[in-house]
Amino acid sequence: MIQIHDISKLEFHHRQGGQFRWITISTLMLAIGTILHLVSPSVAGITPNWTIATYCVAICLTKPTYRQALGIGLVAALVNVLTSKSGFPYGNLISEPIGALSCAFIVHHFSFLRFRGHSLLPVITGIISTCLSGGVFVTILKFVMDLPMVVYTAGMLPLVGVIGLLNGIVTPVMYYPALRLFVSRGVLDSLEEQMVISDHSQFDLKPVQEELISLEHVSYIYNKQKIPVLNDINLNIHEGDFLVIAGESGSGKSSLCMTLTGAIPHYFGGVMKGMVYVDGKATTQTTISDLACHVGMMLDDYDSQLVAMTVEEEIAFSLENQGVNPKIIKEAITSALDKVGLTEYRTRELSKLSGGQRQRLVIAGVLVTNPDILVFDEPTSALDPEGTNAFYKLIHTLNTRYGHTVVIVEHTLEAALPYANRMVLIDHGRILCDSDVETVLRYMYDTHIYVSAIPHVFACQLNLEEMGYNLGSAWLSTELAVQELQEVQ
Amino acid sequence: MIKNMVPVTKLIATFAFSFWALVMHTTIPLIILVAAELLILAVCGNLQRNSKAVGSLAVFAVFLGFVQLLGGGSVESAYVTGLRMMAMTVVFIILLTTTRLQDLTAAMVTQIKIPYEYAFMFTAALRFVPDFIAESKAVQEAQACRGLSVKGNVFKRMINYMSVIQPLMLKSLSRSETMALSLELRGFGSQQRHSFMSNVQPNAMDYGLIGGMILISAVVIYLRIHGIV
Repeated sequence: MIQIHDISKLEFHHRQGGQFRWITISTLMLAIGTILHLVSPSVAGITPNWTIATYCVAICLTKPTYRQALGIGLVAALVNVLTSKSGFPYGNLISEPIGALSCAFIVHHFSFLRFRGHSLLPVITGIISTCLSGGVFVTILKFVMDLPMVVYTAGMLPLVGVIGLLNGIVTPVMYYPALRLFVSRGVLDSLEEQMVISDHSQFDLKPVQEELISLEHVSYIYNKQKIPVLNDINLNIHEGDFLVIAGESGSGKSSLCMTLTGAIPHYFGGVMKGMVYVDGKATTQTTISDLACHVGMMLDDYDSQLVAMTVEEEIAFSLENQGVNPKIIKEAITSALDKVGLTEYRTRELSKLSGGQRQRLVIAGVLVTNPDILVFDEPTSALDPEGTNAFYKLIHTLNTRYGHTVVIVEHTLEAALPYANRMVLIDHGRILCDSDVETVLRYMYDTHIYVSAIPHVFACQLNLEEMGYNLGSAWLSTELAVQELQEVQ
Repeated sequence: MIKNMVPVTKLIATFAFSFWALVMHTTIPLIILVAAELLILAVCGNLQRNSKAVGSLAVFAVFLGFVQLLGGGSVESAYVTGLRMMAMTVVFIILLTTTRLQDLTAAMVTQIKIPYEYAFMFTAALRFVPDFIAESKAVQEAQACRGLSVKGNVFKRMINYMSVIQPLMLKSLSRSETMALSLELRGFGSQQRHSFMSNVQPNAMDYGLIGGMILISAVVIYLRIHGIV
């Protein structure tokens, strides 16, 4: 094993991740294709085949393997059958995989075809995949239903051709904006990024101090960026902490959270220097899914974390992925639902849950694997004040009664701070202050950094202190302020 | 009884009914088959709820029969075409309305050996459909507020419709990254062996039914060879 003497110099390179991107993009595109079919206008009863158009876009964007493309086609057929869109399910089960495979073939072999710098793939795949898939469908229909040849040659096949032409128009119309979106967000890989993925397995990596989580000299820069988002961060998270991370937008808070889960460096593309240790183990020497047993995270767009149809399926998802026994899964679901107060919603469909209930469900899905640490990235951004208070009461319970260590990135400090025992102020990727809540708030006030986030009631106390009033304990909530003022009277 | 059958038995039954429909080439046996399927659907309490879907299939069946006639087929062949189409599709409605999606997924992965990624995509796509329908309405309303017209000729409507499709698609695609990260955070694909809450192992009744279907298939083939069905 190689010893590392200066951890701040140790680098880990990773390309933009996402081994499951082909799954997520295809899934979402097929869902869109399903509803477009239901609501799109038709020309004399003829509409584009939205299912084929959407999976062509997904395949052009993600360039899946043939095996993956076969899966996309099969799923497209099953979705068609299940949403009662198919008048002849057997035809779809054969024609859609053929359409998807032909699309993948074109994408793999004809990507050089361009017109004025624009790829012709969406046009070509839109036409050819639709014609092939449609051709196979009507051919099966013709033979199974014993339809007359004249109907097949003079009616069905020309109709397939017309729909193919329509798809040749709608596929690029959907593809190019999607491509621009992905390029602008740096989602798509470039070849040079694929060449540099570090391997730290030969290094002897141990934290200086044994903590639940420790960050030692962590810096991080995303690919294609010039300024590091994290700069020499040193932070220890202790067992039982309720830690609030505050800072302006773009200060590096979310990236800091991502380092705790292993998403940085294992998912996002970039270079990490220094090291993050979770339970004494270097994150570069483990995987995101292994770390998930220690660190559970609710993302800012938490709705996108929900992937199942019903509440219990959603909670079971993580445990099923670990191959856990069904009996244990059912017990764990009961416990997780109890913790978040959703017991009576166990069999309910996700589409029938409110925003707050969905958020609780995400938390239950995280809790079911019983992680030591819970990380929340701007959890209350979509909640009303009542929902925000209910959320923090729940998190407080998880922290105090069930012993979960809590790390929260938050802008609305009023609701979070009454429960926090520690606060970190981050600015331009650097930790400026790491202390108890009162000390950090005073630092913010004194240095005029992110002053707008200081709770009004505490800012009022600081103003009063400036005017010469000597007040006792910190006014971290209105209740505390009222109590203090009553004592003054 | 049908609701107690495991998904794989129902899948075999679906293919068996379709096979019988394919083998039969006279009107009466096909009418009996379609009637039996509609009866099963009714007994399961799902006929009324799916009357619209059954009605649409009936319209499609009539259309196919009409096409058969137009192409020079006999009246008998038109009936056979329409009835065969009905028999092969109504059975899918029975399958889908009597089977929980999670049980079907578990059966597909554990018994039919379809890769779990495919099964996941299938359930996740259906999970997002209601969300996207709501978002589609929101986008349409937002675009209408900005002057989007749904009137005009077909081409104008199609072009205008693109201004609904594109925001909807971009919004949902922007979710794909969060979803991909979320899958990794939840250990998706990390284990070779995936477990399911649902118990989809066939029991004695299922084996009995599968045996019965094999027997009926043999009888149907025999009757077809002798020109009876």
